[in-house]
Amino acid sequence: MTGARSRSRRSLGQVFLMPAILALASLAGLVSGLTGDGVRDALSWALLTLPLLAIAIAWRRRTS
Amino acid sequence: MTRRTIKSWFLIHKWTSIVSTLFLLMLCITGLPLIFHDEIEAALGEDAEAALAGEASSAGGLPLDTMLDRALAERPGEVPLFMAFSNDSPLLTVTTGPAPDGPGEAMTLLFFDRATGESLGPAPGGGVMDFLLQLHTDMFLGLPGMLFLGAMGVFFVVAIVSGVVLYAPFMRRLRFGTLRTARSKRVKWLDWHNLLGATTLAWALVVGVTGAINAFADPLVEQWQDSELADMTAAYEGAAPLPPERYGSLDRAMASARAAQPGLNPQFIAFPGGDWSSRHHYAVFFQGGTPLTRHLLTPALIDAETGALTDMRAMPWYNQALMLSKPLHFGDYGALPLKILWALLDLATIVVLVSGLCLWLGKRGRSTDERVAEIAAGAVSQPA
Repeated sequence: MTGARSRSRRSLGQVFLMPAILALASLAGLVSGLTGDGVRDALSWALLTLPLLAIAIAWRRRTS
Repeated sequence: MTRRTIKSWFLIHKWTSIVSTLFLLMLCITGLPLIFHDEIEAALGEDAEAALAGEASSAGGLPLDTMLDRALAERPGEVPLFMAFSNDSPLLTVTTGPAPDGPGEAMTLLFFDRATGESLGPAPGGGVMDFLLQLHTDMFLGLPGMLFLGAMGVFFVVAIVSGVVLYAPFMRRLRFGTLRTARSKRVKWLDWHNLLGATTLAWALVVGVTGAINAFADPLVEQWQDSELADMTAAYEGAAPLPPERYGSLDRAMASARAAQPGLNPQFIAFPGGDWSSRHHYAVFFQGGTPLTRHLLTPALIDAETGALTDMRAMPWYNQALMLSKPLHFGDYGALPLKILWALLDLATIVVLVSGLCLWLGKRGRSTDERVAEIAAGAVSQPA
């Protein structure tokens, strides 16, 4: 456990900041596409790409 | 969070997942091609609309009475159940069956070109997409199968919520997006499970909740028929069902309905005696006029004998929720890019399910307390 204790603990806000941002972006994307076509569809695509982008960035930064 | 709290949530997460994972995997895998059913059917040449040119059948064309006569001539002795329209092509469909309240298996779906009146034959069916859809909807078990999969959807939602709670202690010492791929297989699976679960959280919740709502479609429509519809047609209560030979003109009925809903497109007509109407009415279901309300249908009830409007009311909130659940579950409302995103998010969910399964199966001899310790430490103390 020494390795674990040496790292600082993060607050709940820090832990959930990114998941919450991605969740809000996804929800906004889901609703945006439903309420219109054209620009709103494009906005929905952009917003729903963010969770996938986060996964891709995490993969690039993986520690091996 | 105390060890006891973590343990409770861990057990909720574990058991809701164990019960539902295999069914959810089936749903995710069958759902993947279903996202692209339009494209796949077009590629297989099963897209009846693609070949048709002319005015949309929801806007106009040959008289509805003519179209209905042609359909009934193809199915002698049967009664009409539904007539449905397209906003994109002259395709018009008529569903017939031996009786107004017969079972779905006994129904026949016929395709017509409303511009020319030409019969396009019965709807192509029995293909691989139909098989996948049936498996995805009710596993060929009818209503009990639908309700069972709906319950799996509810377990999925509980598993997501409990997973979010467990994410907090696990990530206390880790940065968002941590992926330790070289430590051990188990740490790698844990990190993938947490990363994909946390990033696709909102999408998975929406698809899970809307899938569960869709599973309760039949009871919700029945509820509408028993309450709201019964109320709208109270004046007809106790009257004998209208026999098909006394059904009046569909065109006259459509004219009355359009006068009540000017400028809107009809999506389908439900004939008397079925699940979507009373025993005396044509129920003409109109789509709303805006992109959002396009998914929300409002029925105009027309006396099937006289063609006069009886009543028109928006459907209750639970039916509105059901109607909005369909696009949000299918992902078919934002053109091809949205479908591709839907497929990628579906694949991510498959990885969450598989990694969860691996974490449970791997080292099954471990005690719950060891697993809780693993969560509480973010697997930081795991040996490499």
